[in-house]
Amino acid sequence: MVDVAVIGGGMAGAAAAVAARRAGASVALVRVGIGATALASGAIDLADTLPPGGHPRPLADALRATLECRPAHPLGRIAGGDADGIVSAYRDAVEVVRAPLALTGDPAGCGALLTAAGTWHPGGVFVAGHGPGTEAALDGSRFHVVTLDLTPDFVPERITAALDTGLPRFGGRPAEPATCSLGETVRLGAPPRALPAVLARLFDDPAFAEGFAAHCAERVRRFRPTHVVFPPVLGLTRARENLALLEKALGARCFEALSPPPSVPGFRLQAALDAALAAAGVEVREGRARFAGAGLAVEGAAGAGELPARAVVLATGKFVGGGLARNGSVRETVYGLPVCADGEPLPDRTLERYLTRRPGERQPLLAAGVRVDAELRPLDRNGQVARPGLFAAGAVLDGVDFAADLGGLGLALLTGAQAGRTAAREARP
Amino acid sequence: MPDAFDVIVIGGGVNGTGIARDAALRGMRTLLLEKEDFGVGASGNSSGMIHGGLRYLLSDIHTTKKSCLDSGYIQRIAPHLLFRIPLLFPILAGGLRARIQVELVEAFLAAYDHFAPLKNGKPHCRLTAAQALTLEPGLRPDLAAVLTFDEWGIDPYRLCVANATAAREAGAEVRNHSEVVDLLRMGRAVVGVRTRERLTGRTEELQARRVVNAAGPWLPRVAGIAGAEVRIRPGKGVHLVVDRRISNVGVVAEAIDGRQIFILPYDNGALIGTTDDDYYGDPDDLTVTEDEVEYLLQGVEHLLPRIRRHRICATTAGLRPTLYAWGANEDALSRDHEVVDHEKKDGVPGLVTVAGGKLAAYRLMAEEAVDLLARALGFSRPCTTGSAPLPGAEEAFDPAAAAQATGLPAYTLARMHHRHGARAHAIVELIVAHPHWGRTVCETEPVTEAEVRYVVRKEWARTVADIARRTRLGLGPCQGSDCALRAAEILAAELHAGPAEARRFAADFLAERWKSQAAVLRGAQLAQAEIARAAHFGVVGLQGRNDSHRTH
Repeated sequence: MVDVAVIGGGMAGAAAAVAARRAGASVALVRVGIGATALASGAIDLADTLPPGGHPRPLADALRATLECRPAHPLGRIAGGDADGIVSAYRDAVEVVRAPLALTGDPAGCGALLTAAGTWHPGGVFVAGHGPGTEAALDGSRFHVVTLDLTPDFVPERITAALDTGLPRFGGRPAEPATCSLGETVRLGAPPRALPAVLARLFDDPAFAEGFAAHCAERVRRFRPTHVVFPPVLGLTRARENLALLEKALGARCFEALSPPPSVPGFRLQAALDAALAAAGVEVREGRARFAGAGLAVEGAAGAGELPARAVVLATGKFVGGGLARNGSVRETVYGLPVCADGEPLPDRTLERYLTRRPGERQPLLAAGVRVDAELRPLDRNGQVARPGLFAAGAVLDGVDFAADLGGLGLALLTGAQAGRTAAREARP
Repeated sequence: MPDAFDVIVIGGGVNGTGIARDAALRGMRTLLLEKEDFGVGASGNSSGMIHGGLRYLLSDIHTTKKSCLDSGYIQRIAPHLLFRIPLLFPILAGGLRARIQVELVEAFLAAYDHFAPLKNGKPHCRLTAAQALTLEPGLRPDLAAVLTFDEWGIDPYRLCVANATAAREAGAEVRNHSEVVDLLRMGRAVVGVRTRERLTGRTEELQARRVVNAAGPWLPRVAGIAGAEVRIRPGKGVHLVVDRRISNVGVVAEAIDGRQIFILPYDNGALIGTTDDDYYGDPDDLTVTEDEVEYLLQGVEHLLPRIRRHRICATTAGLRPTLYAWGANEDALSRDHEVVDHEKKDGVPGLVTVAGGKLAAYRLMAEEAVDLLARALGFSRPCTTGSAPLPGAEEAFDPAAAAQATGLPAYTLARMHHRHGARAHAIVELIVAHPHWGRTVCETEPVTEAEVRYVVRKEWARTVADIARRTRLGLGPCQGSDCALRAAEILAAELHAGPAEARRFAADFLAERWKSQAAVLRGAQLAQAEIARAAHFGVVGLQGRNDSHRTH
């Protein structure tokens, strides 16, 4: 019998598994396929620290704003809903994965990351290799944007416009205008288009990467930039090495813009989480978890069999991850737990009134999930703990609409680490 | 004030654009005003078939004949717009009753065959269940027999734009995003219109000797401004868009209430339709309900049991401006058309309304309306709309040769030809002059950057939704996931707008797509919506997260 079984291998599940191991528990993790984490942009955010039109605000303020307008948000379960307590818990959670994910920055900070679409995304803590981040000294910076012929969606004009409008607000203090220059597009090859992941494999070849760095150096040096922005394709396994190579060759800080899902940085993040699981000694079983009265079992060719466990963390994700599914009604797919939208049980059918007109606004149907108590234990229809020894974390929780409110991977990390620790305590009192 | 027009046409659907073309070709000084974009009303949301009107064979035979006759004309003037849809009419096994039904339906189709030559249709045939299953393995096997017939499909938006282009080339002035907010009166007579440009807010007064109300679902509203009464029974019709082409043949099925519904191959997907329900709400705010979706899926499932496995990626909804009659079920209402001279009917000179009708017979209704105008205004040139080619049909276009010239796949050029006919030459020239405009903007069709620029420059496209209607960009399984922002930036470049406006253009288009998905968010489509929203709004912040005010 294993102390803690974790269902789901994304950020929430991996954080739970590693946190439980650190607390001394034996851990088995069951996963099938990939979910939202692998398909994500790679950005790790907990709340919107870049409110529209204004200046960046500290995480505690952003959390207070979230809790005020989203009373059913699971953040309310952490540290009794106290913003400073949540920040503290978030710092602890970030430590669980900081090294394996190569995270940099301050979890409570309010830095900003450039996206390939020419917008800014909150980035307090982030995977090293994105930027510009929480750097204060952006005064007088000279930015240069490198474009590749095989990434036509990485449009330099978008990036320069974003730098023009964004840097004064996010640069920490009023900045001299940073200049942005564009070299001619670096031509990589014959096919007219390449998927980013395919392109990234090219960059995993050290010889190719070195040639690319030399080529860039020739073209970029004369602009004497302080920062150089690249499309997020600089390798699946060797991205950090390649960025170091480029920084040396160009004599400037180099970073990749964030791209919308699915993205190469997302794949890398998932790979880093997988490595963290292996390093922590978590037993990983490939297959679908099934709960059948008596206990957990795993279906699937590789990892089939029973999985007796003293405590379970459900980190199966929302609709992308498959933790929730809707045919007529919305079901939680492993335990059949009741599904709520903002604390209210969802009816069986006709869920049109759980949607609003503009997709960028909050959509209660897409925030739906499992309701939990202060220890992240799922609740039944009467508000009682549904099953002893069961915990839930990540997107499967009720009350989170990432698209409208942010709080994707950051929330998965926070609730995952919390649930993993509590589950370990429960399994080994 | 500028000189008066001979005719102002209100409404840019298939009737309004058809009338504007006919009037302009006969020498009338014509203005066409469409409040949003061509075809957004009944025309664009129709089933997209130049329908022979099989259904009306018994109840409304002259509608069938008119439709088939006019189908033939449409084929002559715009063959590139049409595509053949072979249809299966399965009869479920069930002893003697089923065998009798097979004979009855076959007799019906044999009668329909008489009209086939008018529209170049193929005669029906009878298939065994086994034969039908080779054509469509998804059918349930317990069939008595399957009968076949065929219809022509057409892209209704392209048809409207083709007519509007023809009108402009014949000297008409054509405006979209231009709403008629009032009618100008002299005594009881209608002498012109007041318009408001929706994208700029600018208003203008324009005089005309005759005003034609071709506003479809908005007919009563426009006529009401003049104190004239037009009664229609707006019939709401809903379709489901399947994410892939699951068959190369259509299937006629029966819904739970006995109505005939269908699933058709359409573009790179499939179309399931349709409903017909009296509608009392706002024609500007049609939404599809989950009930309507369930009704259609349940009916199709009866013959194609695995239909629910497929992803429905969008819906469409439109209102038929059906002629009014009390006491009849929606399905049983006449599909005939009517040209109403309000001078005779209501004592309101200067106003003419066109109501009812079928997509297939639009040209005939336009001819009748313009005959009336010609008599009243003293124009004697004959009608040529049945023989003069629509833009794109004047000459040939060889997709293979164009593929050579541009280095693009022949399939891309063939689809371009389907939409534009020989006018695709102009798009090819753009690609030859600017090779990077050959890049694909939307993978689903595929749609090139050159085509996007062409429709902005030449076909009145001012929003991403306008571009989508003209090119099918973002209307298939992608629902704009990658192409919305790409197209928005091209539009912004053509309109000399900046990146923040490009993001707003993209956000507006995604909002329209969202509306069309609301009733079908389940299964794989719900997961797709989660990812798409995460991309556009979570990561990129298209709703205006970085801008000084949110657009959402």
